[in-house]
Amino acid sequence: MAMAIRFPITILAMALILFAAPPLSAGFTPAKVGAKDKCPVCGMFVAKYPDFVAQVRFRDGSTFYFDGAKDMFKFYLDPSRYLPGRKVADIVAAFVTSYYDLVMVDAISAWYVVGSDVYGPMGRELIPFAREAEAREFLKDHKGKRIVRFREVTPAVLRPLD
Amino acid sequence: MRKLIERQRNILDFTLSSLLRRKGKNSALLLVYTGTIFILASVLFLTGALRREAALVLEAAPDIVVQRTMAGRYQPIPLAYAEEIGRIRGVASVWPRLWGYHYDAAFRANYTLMAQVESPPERGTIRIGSGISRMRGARRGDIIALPGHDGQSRSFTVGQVLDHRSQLLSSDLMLLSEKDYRDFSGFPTDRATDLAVRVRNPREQSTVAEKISRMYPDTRPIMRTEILRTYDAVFGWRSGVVMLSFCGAALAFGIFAWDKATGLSAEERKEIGILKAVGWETSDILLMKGWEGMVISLTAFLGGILLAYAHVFLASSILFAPVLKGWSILYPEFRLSPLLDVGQLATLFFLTVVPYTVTTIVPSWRIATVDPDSVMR
Amino acid sequence: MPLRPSTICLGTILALSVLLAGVLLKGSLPGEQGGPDLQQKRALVRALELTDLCLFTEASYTRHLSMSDLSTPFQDSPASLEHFPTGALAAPPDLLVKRYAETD
Repeated sequence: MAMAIRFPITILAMALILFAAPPLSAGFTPAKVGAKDKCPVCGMFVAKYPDFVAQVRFRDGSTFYFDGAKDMFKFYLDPSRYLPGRKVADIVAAFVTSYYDLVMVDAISAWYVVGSDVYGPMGRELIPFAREAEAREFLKDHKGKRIVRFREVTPAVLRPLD
Repeated sequence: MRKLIERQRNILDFTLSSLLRRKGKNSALLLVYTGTIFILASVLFLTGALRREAALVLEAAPDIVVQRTMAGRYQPIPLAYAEEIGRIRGVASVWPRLWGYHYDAAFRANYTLMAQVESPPERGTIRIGSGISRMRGARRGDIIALPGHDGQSRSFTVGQVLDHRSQLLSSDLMLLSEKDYRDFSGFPTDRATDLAVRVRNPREQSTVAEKISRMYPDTRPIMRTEILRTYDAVFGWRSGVVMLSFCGAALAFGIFAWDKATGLSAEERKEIGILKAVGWETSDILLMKGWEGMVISLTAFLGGILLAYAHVFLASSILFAPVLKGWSILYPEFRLSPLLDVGQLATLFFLTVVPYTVTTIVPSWRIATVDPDSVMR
Repeated sequence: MPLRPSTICLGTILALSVLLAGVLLKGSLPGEQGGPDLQQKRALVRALELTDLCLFTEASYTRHLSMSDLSTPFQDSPASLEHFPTGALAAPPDLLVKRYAETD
């Protein structure tokens, strides 16, 4: 009996360790951008670019908005640089605007096309898609270079976009 | 300060009484001047307002309209095209539009007939634009009979007259249910006139249009940006034609004003000479002439602009109607939402008031600087 | 004391200026920019998927300006410049003029 109880707890603990780093957006719904929200990375008002908005939610409920997936990744890779005291581990959800239908989708499971001819407010962008097939078609239509997943985005991926 | 104002007012008083002394000539000048500005401003206001209205209203037009051509003529488009186009990534919706024209031989007018998809009228009833209603004297509940494609007359009950405020869009419209329209026009059931495509992301519109023309080389996609550009250009063109025909009149006025302002009459020369002789300074004379030019051109400018405003926005450009109407039997009596462009007004101001005032001052300055004795002789 | 001519003149100019300023101001009010009339028109455009203004109903290319183009041969387009001077100078055939005149 004791064994039976301890076992799921171990699994839970293991799961927590395993998935603590990748935040799960499940159970969260994207928030709406306010007219005064500024991108913590570039300082621009985000509401002017509804087609590119991305957002990150922290455990304490605070949400930050970005005018493009690129700025969101910059923030995600080093939050304390833009907002001192913020840690990646506290991020509980992230959303990006999918290109074809312009709705907020989970950033973790999204597909991103790099190097396309579609430019955002901050220039070259990672263009997000909810489904892989969409990303493939977009890559073909818009001369994209490659498709990346959330985990694959590193400073090396972002550098050529600046 | 008070003294300065009093001095200016005294000079203005003198200027006005000197203008009134030549009442006929000066009032004719004022009239022609006002008229010139009135016509110029009316054309500018009308085309500006139409252009603006088109841009604001057609913002809601479909993103892409897909037409089909065959043998160099527009043809009904198969509904199967709509399904395929709907599968293109990024397309939010594809609506087949079913519409066409009808020539009413009795009234010699062209109607635009359209099948209404959203909340269509009941079978046997139609909704008509207020232009048709006005022309035929048809009201709600009246019956309109039109010959169909097979020569047989069909009668429809007028279920509604469309709001007259939307005349600029709907004056000649006749809305039917899809079944009625297909029955009336003989349109095959698997065809539509064209397809209205909506694309969610505006950045993707041109890619979608490209894909459509690659998928169906016999189609032609028309983008909304092209529609808007058409309207922007056509009013420029129309106002250009009107301006061209007006050019002669403007030129005549220019000559008239130039002659009036520069070629000082002997009487005016004498007046300047006397003023100098009684002790006026050159600067006073210039001031007087400056007031003269300003009074005339400011009054003409303000009067002309306000008259044009009333003409275009309150009287539906009634004076231009014969030009704009052309051969149309049905013509909308549109009310445009009034808006004056400050830039336009400034342009008009600098093209009329400023040069006129300058041309009044310069020649009198030449005379005022010479010896009064030689002027009076 | 009779009014000085300068008072009348300046008064008139001032009154006209105030009127013009009022007209300008009225146009820049938010209500005038996107008033209910405009909203209603836009709703109509959206509901019927309209593409054109009903300005000139004499020919299809003037009724639906944006639906005409240059890719179909013999397009009767308002942009067909070669028709312009001649088309504007040549009067329409008598037959047409008479028929149209009857309905006026």
